[in-house]
Amino acid sequence: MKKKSMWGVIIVVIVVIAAFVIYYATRPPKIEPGIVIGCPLSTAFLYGWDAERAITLAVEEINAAGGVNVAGKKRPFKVEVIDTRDLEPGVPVSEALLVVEKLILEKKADFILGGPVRSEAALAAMDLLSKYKKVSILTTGVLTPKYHARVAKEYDKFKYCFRITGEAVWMVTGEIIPCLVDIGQRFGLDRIFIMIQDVAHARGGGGLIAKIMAKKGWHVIGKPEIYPTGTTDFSMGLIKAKKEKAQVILIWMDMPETSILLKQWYDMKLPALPFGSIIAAAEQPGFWKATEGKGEYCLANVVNAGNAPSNATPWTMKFVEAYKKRWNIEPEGYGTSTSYMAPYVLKDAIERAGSLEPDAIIKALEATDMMGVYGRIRFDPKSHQVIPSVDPEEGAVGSIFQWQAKKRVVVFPKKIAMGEIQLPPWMKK
Amino acid sequence: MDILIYGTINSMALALMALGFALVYGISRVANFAHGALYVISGFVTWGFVRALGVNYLLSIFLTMIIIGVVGALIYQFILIRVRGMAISEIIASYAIGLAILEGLRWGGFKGMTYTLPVFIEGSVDIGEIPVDFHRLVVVGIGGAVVAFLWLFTHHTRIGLALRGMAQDERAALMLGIDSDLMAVVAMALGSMLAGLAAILLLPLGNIVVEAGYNVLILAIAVHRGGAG
Repeated sequence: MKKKSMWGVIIVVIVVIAAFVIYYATRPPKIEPGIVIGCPLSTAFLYGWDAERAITLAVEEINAAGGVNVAGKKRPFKVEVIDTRDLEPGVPVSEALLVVEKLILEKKADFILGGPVRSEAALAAMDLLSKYKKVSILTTGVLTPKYHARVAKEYDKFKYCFRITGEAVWMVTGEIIPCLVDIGQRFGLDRIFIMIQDVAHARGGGGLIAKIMAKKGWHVIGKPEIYPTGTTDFSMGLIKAKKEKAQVILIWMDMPETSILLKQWYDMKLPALPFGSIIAAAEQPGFWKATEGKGEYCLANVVNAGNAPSNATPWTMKFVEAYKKRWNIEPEGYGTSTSYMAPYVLKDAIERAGSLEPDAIIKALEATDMMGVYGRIRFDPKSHQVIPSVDPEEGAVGSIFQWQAKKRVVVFPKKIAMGEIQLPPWMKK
Repeated sequence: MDILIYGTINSMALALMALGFALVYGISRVANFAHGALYVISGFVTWGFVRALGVNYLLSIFLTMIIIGVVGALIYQFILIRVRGMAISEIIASYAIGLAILEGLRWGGFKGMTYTLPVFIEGSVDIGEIPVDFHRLVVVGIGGAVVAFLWLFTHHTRIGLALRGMAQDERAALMLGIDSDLMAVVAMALGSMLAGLAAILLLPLGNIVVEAGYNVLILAIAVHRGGAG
């Protein structure tokens, strides 16, 4: 009896040990909790969904490669997107702020990437980010120079705020004006007519361009013509441009009705080159087909390289091809390449910092120096604005393309140009 | 001269946008806040026929107007009729329907600026020294014809006279055997078709975007109130 009991105990012990061994050998590996990236974006609009898609692509690539190394532990990124609707007319800024707060408090976002997209909303969100000590990287929209000026002025309060996309002052002085001057010299043009949308960024940008071009010796026809959002007829402005013999029409509008403007320009065969500082309709790859070619010769500024195909850096076309494969369309809008880079820049910062602690991340981001899709990515340590340049080896490069033979051909800056600017045939002397 | 020409064109465009709204309100006193949504969905339906299914443009226009007319009639018959006479409720109900349609389109992926319709006639002509594209001239021509047709319809047809009777005095019309609910359905169907026609005429000038629905509603109300119906 004693022997039987002893064998029974031995068998039970063996079975229990075996069960433990099998359990620990076959259980799935422990998954580290994800690093939550909160993305407040106006997803029903181009400048929102371009960012959402690019962030999603980058995060998928990073996670597929093993995730982010946080002090020796690999953790995946987890994206939480909420629609701010801040690009829709009539939606108050408070809606966007509610979204940012929801991402932080409910979705437990560790970082905020992407938006808000409207400058007014982004400026208002800075106080929230400061309150909750959340590091944020703006990647789309928000052209106002006030954003990084505020960081520089009140560093301790707003040090959490970074912007990896271009802003209006550099866009105008470093890209649009030099491009216009180049056009003037190459083709002997010097008469410019400015048409802008009745929104803050367009009024500011259009006014600045008018002032600078006048100083450069160009004849600026009248004052910038202002059109309310939703305008469906631009004939008066175009007829005036024709009467005053405008040679370049500078357009600064983010509304869909810019397609009406370009169609009218084409149908009138206006002998003036349309130059879109911001021209939302023309930024999408489907624009040429949608207008049946009436957008040909239109120039469009997409703020950051990589938003149209170019060889700015070795990474640019890899990104373009990856984006095309994932989403069946070329990058569009002006927040795509920057939104793609932001998770990579954040990953790099986290790995150098070895933690997710905000102050450590801020220091690491300030020390960022990497070659990205649109050039060398570095942040000004005081203002946290990405450092721009016309040379991708030195800084973040912009991109101006022209629609030529159904394609978006990058024509400026010269270092990354894939073609030359062309005049419409009815303009050639 | 350019102000005269483009003023006429733009006035006709506004009139086309507002006609359907004015008709529905004038006959049944229902402020159809789904008017802008019907305008936009007409554009997308035509786009679907022409671009996605390759149907003949003229046939697509015809089919779209029928479909939108039926949609308008159904909206009235199943929803608005229940709140008829309660002005605030009518506005809330019709606006909710409009919102559902527009945001439903957005949710369904109809985003971006690349949905377009072809113009009826390519090219432009100079009137004096003012270039005018042919399609805008077509808008003026058809717009004028529609206004004339509506006048003839409401003055020389039984249904049209019944609609006018209802607009003037509903109770008197009822006493004369005119079914006011049926006339309201007819008015709503006709108003919706006019919204569809406006979309088909005006959207080829630009592109089809959901936001246009909100803009068109505001313009229609402004034109209607500005002209006191």
